[in-house]
Amino acid sequence: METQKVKVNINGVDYMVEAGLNILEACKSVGVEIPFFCYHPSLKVAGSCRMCLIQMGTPARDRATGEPVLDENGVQKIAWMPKPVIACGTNVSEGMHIITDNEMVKDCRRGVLEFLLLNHPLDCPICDKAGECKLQEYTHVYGQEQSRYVEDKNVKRKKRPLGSKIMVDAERCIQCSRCIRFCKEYIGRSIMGFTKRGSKVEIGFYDDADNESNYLLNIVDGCPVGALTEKEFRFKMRTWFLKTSESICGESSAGVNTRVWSREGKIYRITPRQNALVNDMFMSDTGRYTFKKYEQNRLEQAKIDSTPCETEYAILRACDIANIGDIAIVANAWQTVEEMYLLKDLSKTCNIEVFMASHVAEDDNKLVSADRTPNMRGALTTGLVDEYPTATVEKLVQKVRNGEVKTIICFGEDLLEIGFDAKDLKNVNIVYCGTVENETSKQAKICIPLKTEFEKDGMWINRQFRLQRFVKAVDAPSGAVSDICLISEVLKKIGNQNFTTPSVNDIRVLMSQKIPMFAGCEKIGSMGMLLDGSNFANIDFPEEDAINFKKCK
Amino acid sequence: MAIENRIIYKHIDVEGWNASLEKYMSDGGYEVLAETVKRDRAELCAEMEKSKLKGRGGAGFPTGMKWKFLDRKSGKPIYLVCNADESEPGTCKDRLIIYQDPHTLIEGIMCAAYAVNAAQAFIYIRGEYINGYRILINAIEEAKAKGFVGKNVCGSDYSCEITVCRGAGCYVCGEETGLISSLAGERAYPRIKPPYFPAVMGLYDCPTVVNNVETLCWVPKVFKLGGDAVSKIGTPLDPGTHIWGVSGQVQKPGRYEIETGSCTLGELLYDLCGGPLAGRRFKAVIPGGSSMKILKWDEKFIIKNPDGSEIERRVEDIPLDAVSFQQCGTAIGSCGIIVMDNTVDMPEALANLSAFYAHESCGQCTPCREGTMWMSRLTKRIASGGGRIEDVDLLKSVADNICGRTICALGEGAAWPVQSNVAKFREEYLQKISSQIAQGGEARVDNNAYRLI
Amino acid sequence: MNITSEIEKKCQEIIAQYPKKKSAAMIMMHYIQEQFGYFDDEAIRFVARQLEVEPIEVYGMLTFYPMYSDKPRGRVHIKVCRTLSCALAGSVEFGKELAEKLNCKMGETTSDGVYTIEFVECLGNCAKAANVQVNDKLFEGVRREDVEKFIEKINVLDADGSLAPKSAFDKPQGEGDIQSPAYKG
Repeated sequence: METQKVKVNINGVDYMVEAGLNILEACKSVGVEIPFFCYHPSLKVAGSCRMCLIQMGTPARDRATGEPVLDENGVQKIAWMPKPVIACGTNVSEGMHIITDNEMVKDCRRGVLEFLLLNHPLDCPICDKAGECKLQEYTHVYGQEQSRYVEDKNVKRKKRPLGSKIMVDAERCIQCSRCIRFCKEYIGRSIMGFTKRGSKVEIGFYDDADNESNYLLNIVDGCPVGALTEKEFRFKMRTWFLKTSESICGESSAGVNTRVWSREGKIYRITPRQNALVNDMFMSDTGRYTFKKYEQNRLEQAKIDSTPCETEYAILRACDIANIGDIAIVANAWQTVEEMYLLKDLSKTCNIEVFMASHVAEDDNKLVSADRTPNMRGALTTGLVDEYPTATVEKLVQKVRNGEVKTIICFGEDLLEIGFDAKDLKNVNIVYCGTVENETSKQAKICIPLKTEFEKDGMWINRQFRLQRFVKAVDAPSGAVSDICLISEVLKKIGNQNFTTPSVNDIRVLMSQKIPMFAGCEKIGSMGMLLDGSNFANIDFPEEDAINFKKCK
Repeated sequence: MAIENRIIYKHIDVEGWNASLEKYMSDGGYEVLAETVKRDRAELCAEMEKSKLKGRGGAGFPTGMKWKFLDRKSGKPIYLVCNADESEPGTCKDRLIIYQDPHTLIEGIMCAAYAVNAAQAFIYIRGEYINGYRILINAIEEAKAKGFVGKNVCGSDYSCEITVCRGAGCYVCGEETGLISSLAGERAYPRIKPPYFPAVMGLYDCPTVVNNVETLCWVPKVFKLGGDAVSKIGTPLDPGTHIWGVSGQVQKPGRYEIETGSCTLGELLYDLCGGPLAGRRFKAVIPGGSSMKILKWDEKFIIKNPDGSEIERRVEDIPLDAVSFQQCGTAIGSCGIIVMDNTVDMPEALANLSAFYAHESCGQCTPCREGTMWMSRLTKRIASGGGRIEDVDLLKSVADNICGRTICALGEGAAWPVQSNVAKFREEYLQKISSQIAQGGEARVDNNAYRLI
Repeated sequence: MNITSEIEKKCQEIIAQYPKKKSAAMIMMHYIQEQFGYFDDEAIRFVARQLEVEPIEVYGMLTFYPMYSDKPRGRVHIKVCRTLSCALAGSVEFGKELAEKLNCKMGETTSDGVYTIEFVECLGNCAKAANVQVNDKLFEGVRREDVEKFIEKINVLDADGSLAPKSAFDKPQGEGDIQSPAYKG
């Protein structure tokens, strides 16, 4: 669908911008920055910070006749608004003139910043928001050097817990109301609100007890200043020391776009990354801590019969066992599309059956979908499985019990949780390839440590059939190998093939050429690529309707 | 010579008059309503427009235009809200209508409600008018029993209830969108325009008319006499009467209903209000509620006539109508005149008002929230002896940074008194501050002055 | 706080007057304040339940509008208008002196729970300044030199019970609540 465009004049230059945008977004779309605090693209306009004041005029028309008013050169005059207007609350229209850089607009910004700093404690050196604080940033760019305020500052409550995950500092708050609007509009309950009046206004809950939500931490991201900070991340690391990598949340099939913040191989936090088509600018609180599951019980070293060994040797031994035959593979839906493609190749070449289990839990109709794996649609589209798996791999269990399968190459899953009982595991050779230790790894003949989603590049397909890319954030422990490397080695050894281990990109290029629906997949951008999922319309997926997602009926 | 012309205040303070329906009926009450509900709505609205009446709440927007802007095609119900919040300091005109003549207001509301086809009418009365609330509730019940309010008004097929809501001590509820927020059961935050123009997105996001008490009392008069006839009362550009609430330092403060343009400010203050207190001189006048720019009693204005000629006008010569005050750089607002005489210390008076605005700022938008607080602390410091010479310019600069940059008009309302005070009484400020500094921060300009803070 | 079925019924009546429940907040909060004198946690939650809103919204209103209180106030609640018209008539000095004489700090309640005195903004009767509101009664034309007479007067009225606040939901109190001038009659 072609978007309608209108001509606007910004600072003397004509631009074509999308109709229906507000001035702030329209200016942003052509690279003109307008500072703002309270505006948030995913929330209703509050228009209260007054930081985005600009000068605006529209083509003049005669009040009585409606005829255009022309100047001496026959050009339609511009009727300038007598007062500055807020860019966030005013939509562009044909012929609109916008000025964002004259003395009046600069004066407005200086004035607003001076006002905001009157009661602000100016405690940047001990503020955890420093480095990503809009107030700090704008004061440097648009503010004035000194405050003219000599009166007493308001004293408000500092360091107060807001629920179990957040700390609130009322003195730093600039009353932008983003947190309040987020709770009302996104969580769906007005659990946050303003109290008191005038310059004494504070934000808060009524009672901490019953206000827990799995989305509360978004108000910390949304807070443009240091009023709301996350308890978990507070004082752990200055943000400017952290490196960010674009990632995708593995918590569920929602495919939330994220940013992973790390330093020297350690992940400090995960925050949402804007994608208006998927998660807007939000993510669940639980999704932020997905990296923590790798901090304990990490499988760091290859083992044979519980004895540590070199990873290469473990892979060799695994292939030896596999060569005996009667093998099956248990894959999982955290594996990337590329890995699944290769795994499918292995399964086809060596005629090995692949089994998968589903991981379904309650859908919150927001960003934690019922499918708690990030890539079940990857398994379907690569043909790794033909239908949506069940919670247990009954067929494989039967085959083991019948003695048809003697070796299982298990990727990450705990076999005891997907249908096997302890006795079964004694009757089968297990090659466990995974990132964390579990009951299966403890009983496995061979353990091969793999890289986590934070340690490799890859793609997942979310509930919308959107193919999304994530990149490596941190280095893996020295013993860990990527799934691709492992599968390639197995393919070489037991499939008797001779090829160079492909890179992730090699596989993307291959898929792009060989599977029509993946055409162009090596070039997808940060918004991802929506695949045609119509071939799978008959599958009853477990996800329910949510924002930006409609269940296929 | 100033004489009153009591049209809206016809019954106020009249011997033997009371708030009962019986009394009101004895003076032709609800006759206009009975006629109105038989008439064509478009024609009624046209009459209102023809009358050229300006709203009496303070902004002075033509009432007919306000009605015209109503979004009648939205398919949503239309609401009529009577703004009886009367919270502008110096303004006390609506109080007497509510207390002594509630049926005049109720008839006005019902006439207006019929004309704009309102689904329901509300009266938002300020919380301090406790008995006013009781009187209105009682009067509505009386009117309802006679079929003037509620189902099938005066036997027509038009039905409309009046619900009375009470404020709870909040100035910004007088601002129409703030009032709408409060009426919707929220903190009285004024709304941004666009998109929340009451005529399109008012109460419950439905089209809404918000009219002042006095304005609504005019409606039956307009419907009865016709818009043209009403437009001929007083001056053509601001027809009708204004009820001037005079308070402060005059002999006879009170409420005076005066035909627009029929007398001057001086005549009002000397003839009707009896002039200054014994042995005093007028010093300054706030013409239209505390938010309007102050007039210095001895200042003069050069007024341009339409024919290009110029005349000099003293403050006491300003005719009592909206246009004349505009020409002098101020406005009549809600016609609440506050008079100050030579005993008043202007920095103290300003500190008093600034404290009011700081207390009443809702705290929603930055310039008002922080600016009113700053001005209040600044003026208080100057008034109580700690002023610095540079504070005078600083004060003006702070006011300039608020003016025109806020969500609602409270910003201007807080900034105008400061801007005009500092501009017109600059010498007094500088003198006070200098003598404070000389005397170690404890000087008062005039020892007779009342402590206003 | 004892929330009786009568109170609940009245609240439902108030709600019925509005197209949306939440709109009943202002009047309902006035009513609850009248019943209990102030809002405690139970009252806040009760109003929130009635209006089907979150308690923080009720608490936000409570702290926004100065006529609602989260603390009990004295039996004789004196509000002295401090805004300009009344201040020009001496109300500020009147208020300060009154507070001193009553031995009550401005904005606070005496320890015996009898007096609460506070400065308030404009009471809307500027032409009859200075104005002092005591409970639901307005004293207009108060002079700053009459502090003692004023105290005498309110003590008499308090003693004979005529100062006890009447409900805003009652019938009108005759011509008005105005006692004018304060120190006469």
